[in-house]
Amino acid sequence: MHYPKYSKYALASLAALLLPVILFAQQTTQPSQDETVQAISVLTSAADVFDKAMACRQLSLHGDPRAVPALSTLLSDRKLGNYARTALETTPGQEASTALREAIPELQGDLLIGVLGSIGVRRDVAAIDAIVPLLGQDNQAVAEAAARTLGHLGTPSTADLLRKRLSEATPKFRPAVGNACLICAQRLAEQGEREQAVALCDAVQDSDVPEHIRAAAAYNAIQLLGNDALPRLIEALNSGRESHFRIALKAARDLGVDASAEIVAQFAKHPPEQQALLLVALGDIGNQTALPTVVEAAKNGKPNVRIQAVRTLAKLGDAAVVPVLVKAVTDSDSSVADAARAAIAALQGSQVNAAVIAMLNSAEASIVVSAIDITSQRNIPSATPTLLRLARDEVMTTRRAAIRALAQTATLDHLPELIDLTLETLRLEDASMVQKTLVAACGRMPPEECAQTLANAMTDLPPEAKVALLEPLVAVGGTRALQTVVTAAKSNNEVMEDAATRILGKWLTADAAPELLDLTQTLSHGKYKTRTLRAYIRIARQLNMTNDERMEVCRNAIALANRDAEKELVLEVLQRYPTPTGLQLAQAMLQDKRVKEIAQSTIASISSGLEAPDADTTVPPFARENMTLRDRVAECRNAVIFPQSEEERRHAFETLRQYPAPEGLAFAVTLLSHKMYEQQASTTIVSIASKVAMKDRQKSQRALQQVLHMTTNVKLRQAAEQQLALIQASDTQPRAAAD
Amino acid sequence: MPPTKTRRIFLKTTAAASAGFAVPTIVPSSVLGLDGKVPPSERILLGGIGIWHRGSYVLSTMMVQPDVRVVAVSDVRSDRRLAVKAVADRHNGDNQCAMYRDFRELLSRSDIDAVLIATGDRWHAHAAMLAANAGKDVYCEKPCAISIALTQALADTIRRTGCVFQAGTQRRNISNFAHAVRLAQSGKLGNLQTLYAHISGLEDNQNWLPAQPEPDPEEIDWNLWLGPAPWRPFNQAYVDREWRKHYDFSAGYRLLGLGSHTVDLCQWANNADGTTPIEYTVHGNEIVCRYANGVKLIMRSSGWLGLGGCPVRFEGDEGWVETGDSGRMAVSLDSLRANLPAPALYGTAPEMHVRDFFDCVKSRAKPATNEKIMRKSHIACHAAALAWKLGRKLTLDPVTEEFVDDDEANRMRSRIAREPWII
Repeated sequence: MHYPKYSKYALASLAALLLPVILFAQQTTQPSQDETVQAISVLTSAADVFDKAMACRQLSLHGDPRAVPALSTLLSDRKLGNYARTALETTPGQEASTALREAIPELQGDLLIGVLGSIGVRRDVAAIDAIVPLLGQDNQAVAEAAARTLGHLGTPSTADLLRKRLSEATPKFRPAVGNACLICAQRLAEQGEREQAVALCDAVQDSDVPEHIRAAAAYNAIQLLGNDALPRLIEALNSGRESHFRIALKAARDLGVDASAEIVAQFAKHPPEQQALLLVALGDIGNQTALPTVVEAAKNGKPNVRIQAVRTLAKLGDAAVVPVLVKAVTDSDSSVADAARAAIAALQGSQVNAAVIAMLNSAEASIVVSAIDITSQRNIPSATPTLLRLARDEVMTTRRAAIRALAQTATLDHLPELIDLTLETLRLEDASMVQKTLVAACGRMPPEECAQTLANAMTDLPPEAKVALLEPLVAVGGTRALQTVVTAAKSNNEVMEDAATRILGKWLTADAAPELLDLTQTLSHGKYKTRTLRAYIRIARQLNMTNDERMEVCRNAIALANRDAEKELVLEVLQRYPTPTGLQLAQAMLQDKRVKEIAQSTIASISSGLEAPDADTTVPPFARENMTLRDRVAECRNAVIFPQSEEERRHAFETLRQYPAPEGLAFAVTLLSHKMYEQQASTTIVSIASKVAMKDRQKSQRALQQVLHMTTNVKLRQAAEQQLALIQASDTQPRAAAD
Repeated sequence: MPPTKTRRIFLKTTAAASAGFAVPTIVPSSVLGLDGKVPPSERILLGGIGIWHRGSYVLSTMMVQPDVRVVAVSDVRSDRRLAVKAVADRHNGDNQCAMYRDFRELLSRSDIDAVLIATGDRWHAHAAMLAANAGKDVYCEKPCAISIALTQALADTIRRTGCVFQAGTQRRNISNFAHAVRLAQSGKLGNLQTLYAHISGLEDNQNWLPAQPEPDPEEIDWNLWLGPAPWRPFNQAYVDREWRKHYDFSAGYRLLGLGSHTVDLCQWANNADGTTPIEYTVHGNEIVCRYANGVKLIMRSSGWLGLGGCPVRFEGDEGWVETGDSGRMAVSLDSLRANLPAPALYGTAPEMHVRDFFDCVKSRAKPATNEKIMRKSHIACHAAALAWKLGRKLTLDPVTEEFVDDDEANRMRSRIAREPWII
């Protein structure tokens, strides 16, 4: 979770730079250099492109003016120019600005475009004189970048320059200048220069740039002027230019109530297709004074206008517009009718529901079906008795609409009747739909009471009917629901057992865990035991519980799992929630050959994901004074596996190298097989092997051979071979002397 | 005088499209023209940029809109261009869908009204800004920008150009998420206390894969694939979806992959579309943020009820609601259970969001996840990701969108943009 003091590049490059020191200077402590100096040293070395790129990245975060010369030399580099330029963008001080400015005459094409962008980011107005000549460059992309940069600089002088260029530019270049003007206007407005910004927008509007840029200029001017822009809004609405009408629609929403008054005043002058769009805007603005215009349009507008007016009524209207909408529900134009139904469903107001219930009792079938749909959308519980009646209607359309609506309207009071409906239709064609309705409705009811009602209703029912009432319990949840399903699972009736174990597999809360454990231990049917075990593991994987509880589930599941599939599921849980206990459980599973490989990757993942124990001191335990070598290695081991940060992990490795010990060497060897530790572990072994060899030569040689076996890093391999040779030499020399 | 009718003046709009949590309705075909057909003059002509995986899925939902015609596709990979063109042509009943390796050629077509941008993260903001500057309306897959500075630049560009912008965070237009937000906003949960947003595991991988010979640009244009991302040598794995694992190509150490959805929903629930949390602290596996109104936002990757992917949970002092991509909802209060909507769409389905976008293309209304909303929710995500990266508490000024007294964090607000992709 901690940002490493040195990024991976630094590790790589420092390893490259310091490796000879580490290997051959026998653990002399390196003086700490600040990050800028280290990064500069990488940039000025023969390091490869990656290391230099990462050094630039480091400098973009921490660099200071000392880095500017090194970064500047890379501005012309095709691969590294973008890295260096970005570092200069964030470097404080005038030195970076100067460097970017001075690079202008030295660069061409894309690299020059990049530098111009960085000058814009730094808002370096001192670069204006150097940029202006680029407006005339043959390279169109460079000229466009120059114009854009002048826009970003956003001064009155760049505004003048760009405005002048608008009329002089070639047709191909002019759009870029127009866009640059709008950027410039935005910058001027940010500095409080509203009048100049508007003037620049007006210049763009009057220029020969593409229509969408002129429209954008008009839009920007209206935005800048706020309510002072109403005359411009009217002008845009009535301009006869499609693009300006569109930006007027957009701007009207920004201006709000005043704009809606203007739209109402102008409404009748517009053709129907535009009236429809104006009605949308009126709905968005939400000014109720527009209501008479909208009602009139809903009654007497052209078909397309009527549809939109009806929709706008849903936003602006209240119960007073219901009669208009009810009439529209039966309109011969089905689109108007559809819009009216949707509008009634969305309409605000407490009296609207009463109007909808009245529609349910209409003599017109089409109004009844519409009303059923609306009761559902508006969630009107008082409509439920009527809907229960209609759910038994002979007309299928009416019946099914009512069944669907009950899902949204039925409350606990209606549950017995809904259960009756479910049982009545068990073997009929509507059974599935009624079942879905029961599940959905129960999901919205108070859990304990709902579960109790369902449980009571099950008494004396045949198994198939009981299952129908079991299904909603997963949506209901709670203690009573759980107990009812568990009882069904233990009923020794296969139909019930099958349904109940399936339902438990979808349970939404962790309170099912103990029951699932018990069922896994007690059920006799293998298929259902497996199902409950998987449901048990799912709870640990997916649901909210403490880490201790989760690990307990995993421990129990491991003990009960006979198949690889379930063991792998447990390992997945351990990986997802890394804990020390989980690490132990995963390590224990290494004994099982069939899941050993997954257990290994789980262990590696847990190790990397574990949070460090609380540290109450700035000095990590492994770096404290007055401790035995063995204890220090043990603390290093902890810090490597459970680090507070990447930096601490590196520090721990460095300490292992600083205090060579056979235990440290052995520990490093165990880490070689983990990819994430491979480089640090190899470096440590290579570093301390010759010292440890004085105590245990064979162990050192084996460790170095392991490095040769595991690592592909050429430098580390060479260093390992050198150390092996040194140990062998020290092995032979005394003997020779003795001989 | 009133404007004359042109191809761009559309007959049909959908009021619900711009409504808060109302779900837009599909435009009835009878309104669009005779026999349910939309006259060619009133169709939105669409171009698809970056059209594989999510891109082709979203494009397929756009293609079937009765008032939309996909006329061009662009991708740096020839196999993808050919595959998606074939689908578009089959749908259109001709072979006229154009293909472009370089999307700038697509943008230069004046007949194209709108574009879908579904490239990798590295390209989203730059492509969207170029499209907006070219006068196109933009549906941009998330994360829309890979840094705070790019997020700001994108939102500013959209505002300046006046185009319609929809971020591809479709859950605002899915009923269960909208209902959960409505519960939080309405006070039915009591005073809002804590919001929970699901995020995936974070990762900071700045390594390069081994260099491989660059392919023929006609097959895979590596230079164009990299685009504004910093230079690095080619490796096929990047192009084959591996890019997500690499810092240079993804946003916020991968936090924005899901956070751009879930944090956005939390912003909405807290009525905080115009602001961001002000404090960001890492506690164990959680990133804990605090708004100026005292509400906490906790980003986490576990501890959910199992209601599907991308879950969110809103807790007030009287109750809570949790929901996810399955459409199912869990609530603590019996009184809230009574009005839960039935699951409608799976959380990844963009149909409603897409319709919302096209309705707004016509009406010029603001879509559900317009540039203003995207700006604040993305910046909240980026700030949280930086707090994770730096391992310390960050304080963000939601007005200036700068970190308070933290030079390092402020320098991390921007990232490398490779030339010539400077906007």
